[in-house]
Amino acid sequence: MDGFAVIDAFVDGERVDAAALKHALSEPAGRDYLVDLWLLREGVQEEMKADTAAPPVTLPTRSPRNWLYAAAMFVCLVGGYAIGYQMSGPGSPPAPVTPPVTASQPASPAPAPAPLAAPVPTRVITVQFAADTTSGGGD
Amino acid sequence: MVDSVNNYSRQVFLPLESRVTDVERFYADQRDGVFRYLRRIVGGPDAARDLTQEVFLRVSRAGMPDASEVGRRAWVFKIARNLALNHVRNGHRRPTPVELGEIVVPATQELSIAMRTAIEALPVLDRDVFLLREMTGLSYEEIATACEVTIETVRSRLHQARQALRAALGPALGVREQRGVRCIAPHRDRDRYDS
Repeated sequence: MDGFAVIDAFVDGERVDAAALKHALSEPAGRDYLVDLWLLREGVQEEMKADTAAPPVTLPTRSPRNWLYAAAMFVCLVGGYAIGYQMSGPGSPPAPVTPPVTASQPASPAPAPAPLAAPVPTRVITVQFAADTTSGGGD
Repeated sequence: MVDSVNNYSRQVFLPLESRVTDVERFYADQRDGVFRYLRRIVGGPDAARDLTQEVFLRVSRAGMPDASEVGRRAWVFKIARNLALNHVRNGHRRPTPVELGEIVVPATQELSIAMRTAIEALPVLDRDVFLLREMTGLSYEEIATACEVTIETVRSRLHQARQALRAALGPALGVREQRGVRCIAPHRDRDRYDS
């Protein structure tokens, strides 16, 4: 780094050693450097004017939509419960539990259940008594 | 019941609102500087806009650090610089097409084109230090924090960058010198806060 760095710092608003600055500016090259720094800065700033503006940024905020979704879900749950409660009635006995119908059962209607009775016999066994051997004589 | 709900609302919403407001205010102060810096590094305005958006989304997600205004500014530009370097590293950079051809370019525009080319030719750190100083007005201390180097490195890199630009733009600066010179400060978006 040459002795002109003090000119850079001076141009940038930094506190510099006065003697070093005087010494740097005592040379023609130092004065040329100072002028070129101003010209360079002016050129940069003119170029910046050509830039388009930065876009507005949408920062993430907590949207009320989430709260609406949650509220709608809550209303559906509570409403469904209330409607179901009213339909069944508060004092009515519980509905009979029907067995679930499985898909494997045939589509034809099931026969009506028969009244409770003894089943029809499938085979009749006739008992034939032999001659009474105990009531006769004989010793 | 109502009181407890209100207390809950305050607990839930107030920190968020204050944080967003803080970020928005900070964004309003720094937006243009971040965009200009990114524009020079990534090459095109569209990518620079996207990255500017990304910078402030990250800022809003992370929350503002408990630091001074100077520290916060350096922190934001550190995020911007890392995003830009990653963007370029991933091969997304699309240089702005400059067609000289037979078009007659005014002297000021000629300097602008030459300057853009010369800045792009600088080493990465020299370029970043120069842009952060001239386009955003960051102090040496802020630049050192943003680029993760020492203040002495900032001084030397800034001097090297200016020497290189001066050598590259010599004739164009000579033309400009004929119009005269004036003492101006680097561009600063925050002047109204420093006064």
